[in-house]
Amino acid sequence: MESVPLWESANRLRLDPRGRLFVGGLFITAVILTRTRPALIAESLLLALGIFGFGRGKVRRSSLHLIWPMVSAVFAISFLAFGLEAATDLSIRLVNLFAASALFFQTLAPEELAGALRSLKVPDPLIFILMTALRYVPLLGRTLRNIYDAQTARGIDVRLRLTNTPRLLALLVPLLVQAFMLAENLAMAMESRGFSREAKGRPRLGPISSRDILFVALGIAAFIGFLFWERRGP
Amino acid sequence: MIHLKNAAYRYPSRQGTAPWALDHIDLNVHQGEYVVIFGPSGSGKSTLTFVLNGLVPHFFGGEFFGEALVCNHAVPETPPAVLSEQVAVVLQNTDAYLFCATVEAELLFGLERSPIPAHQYDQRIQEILAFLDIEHLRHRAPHELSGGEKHLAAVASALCLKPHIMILDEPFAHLDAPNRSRLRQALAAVNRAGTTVIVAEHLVDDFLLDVDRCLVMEKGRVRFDGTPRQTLPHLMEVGLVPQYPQPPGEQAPLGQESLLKVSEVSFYREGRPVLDRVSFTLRAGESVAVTGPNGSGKTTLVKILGGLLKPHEGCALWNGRDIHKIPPPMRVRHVGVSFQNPNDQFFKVQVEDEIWAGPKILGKKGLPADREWIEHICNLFGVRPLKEHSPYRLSEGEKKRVALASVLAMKPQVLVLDEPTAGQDGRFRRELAELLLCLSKDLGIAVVVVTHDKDFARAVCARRLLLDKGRLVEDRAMVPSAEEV
Repeated sequence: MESVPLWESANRLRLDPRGRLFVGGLFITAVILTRTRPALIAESLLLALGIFGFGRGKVRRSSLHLIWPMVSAVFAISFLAFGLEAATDLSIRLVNLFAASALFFQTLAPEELAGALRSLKVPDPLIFILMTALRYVPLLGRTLRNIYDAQTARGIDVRLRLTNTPRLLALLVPLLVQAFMLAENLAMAMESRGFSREAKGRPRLGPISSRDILFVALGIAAFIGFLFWERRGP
Repeated sequence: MIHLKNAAYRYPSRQGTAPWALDHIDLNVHQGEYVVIFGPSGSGKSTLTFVLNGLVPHFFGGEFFGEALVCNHAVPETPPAVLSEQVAVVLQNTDAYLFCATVEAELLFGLERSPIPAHQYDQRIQEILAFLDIEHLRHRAPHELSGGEKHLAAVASALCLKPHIMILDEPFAHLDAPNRSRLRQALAAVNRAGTTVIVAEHLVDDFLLDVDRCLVMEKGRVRFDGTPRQTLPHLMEVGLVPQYPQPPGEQAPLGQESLLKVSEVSFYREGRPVLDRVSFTLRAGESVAVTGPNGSGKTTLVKILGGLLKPHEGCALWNGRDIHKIPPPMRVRHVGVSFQNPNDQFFKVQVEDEIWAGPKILGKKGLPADREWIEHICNLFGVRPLKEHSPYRLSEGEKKRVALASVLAMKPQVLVLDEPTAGQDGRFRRELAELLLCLSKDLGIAVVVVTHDKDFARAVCARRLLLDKGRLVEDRAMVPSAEEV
């Protein structure tokens, strides 16, 4: 069956991008404010349900694999510094934060996110920087994969092992150089396509409907309810 | 429409005076003309296109002399943003050119910055996409498109402002034959609609039949300006039409035992077969071309041969041992792979260190480098004079030679090359053909070339494997004729 991007499912429900942006922001704030382990685990279960439930919605579960090295490092350092309990809580919180962000970005098409931010009066250059980052991070990810293959194929062992740490330069240097080359080409393209001219006649978002207000109200209620439940204890 | 008189330009340089990138050239282009600017790497053709949309001198800086009028605007006084309303440029790197989230957003980007009223945007987008027959790409993300589709999307975003002049920098060089043909038709249609089309290119192909006029550049000068019929001798003189060595009609005696055995290999992506029960063997000194359309599984096969991917079914064996199970530094002593982009390899300050990077790692594992062999490879590939240069500051052809030499420094018995001629000019293609023939005939290295370049494949290889939709549909001797590769 053909997979459908998650934001298209959201569009079918006719939810305004501003509402989705707001509720997504609330969810991430809830993850940051969570203090107790049962609440962290409850969040993890909710997020897992969201990510696996939207399996056909093209949530890129594979991209979450990239977080494990960082989570392992945070666990190891906090275990040495603060002990097992703190390390466990910090690691779960970090995983939840990544998962919530991944889910959030999958519910908004980049252009919708730009439209929502523009209606919130965020300056255009900042929006462009965010959009460009969203556009080019996957490209740099692919470049890194190509570099890994090219180095391995010529005998430079860059597998993720402690003994190979000094050789990580063989990945980082080409990546950095190609990122700079891409940035220069991007600047040339922007200049040639008239980026410095002011954008006019930008299509506006429609009015916020009662459905959106209800959606946002439910989001706020869930946010307050969750924090209240967490502070009082399960 | 375009008038250059005694136009000269040099890029800014930290080390004294840079050479002329454009050396006092005169050029007049009239409305509705279709002009191709040919020239080898570094001849100044891209710089000339940058003058026409104001990137030179406004974006790059440097020194500009002479007269340059484009659509009645004096280029030195008119910034690219103003010129972009009448002059659309499609740059070589479409990944950088297409920076929005969808094809529709790419078109909107230009429209939002034009005087066109907002209520006409949708109609204009529909018109342009229908004109190029890419309506189905409207909501697709640019990074998901094929190379040809990216170029068509870039042409659409350039056309949406209905420019008087459309300029494309090397649009054909990185495309396979079907995509080249698609883009060729689109550009011919754009030109028929009255737009002046200017293409800077080093690949000589069928699109020449559509063109009104050809310029051949060399060392910043226009050395020929005339009709396509008169162009061929000039293209040969500047090395754009490669004069390949005699094809290997009679293969040198091959080793008796197979070096590499691929047996019933299948590989799946998202449940779909990318390779479907592919089998063949490779012997020492053999030279094999792997061909097939985009998406036929060629690059996946390259990665399996290099041990970078493990086949889901079947096996790729080196002397009876699974290639992917051999540790990377040891594996390269058997099979070395050189990918398309040499910049993926470079991480050292000097070319010499780059070439020695792999052998030094082997040395630490108790396998001393063969200094004589490495010296021989450096001489063969002409990288000795470059050994103290930074690999990033070399020309594209030199980079490719250094990248190949650094793979060969590990003394592999099989060399696999993925699209080695993509984006390279004719002179480099001829040199590379000679080098590969030398490797297979004189040094007994088996060479596998994955390529869309039929002439190059004929010049270098004695055997052809044709992949189609992941299946090996043909495995036979290369016939030196006009057959399609």
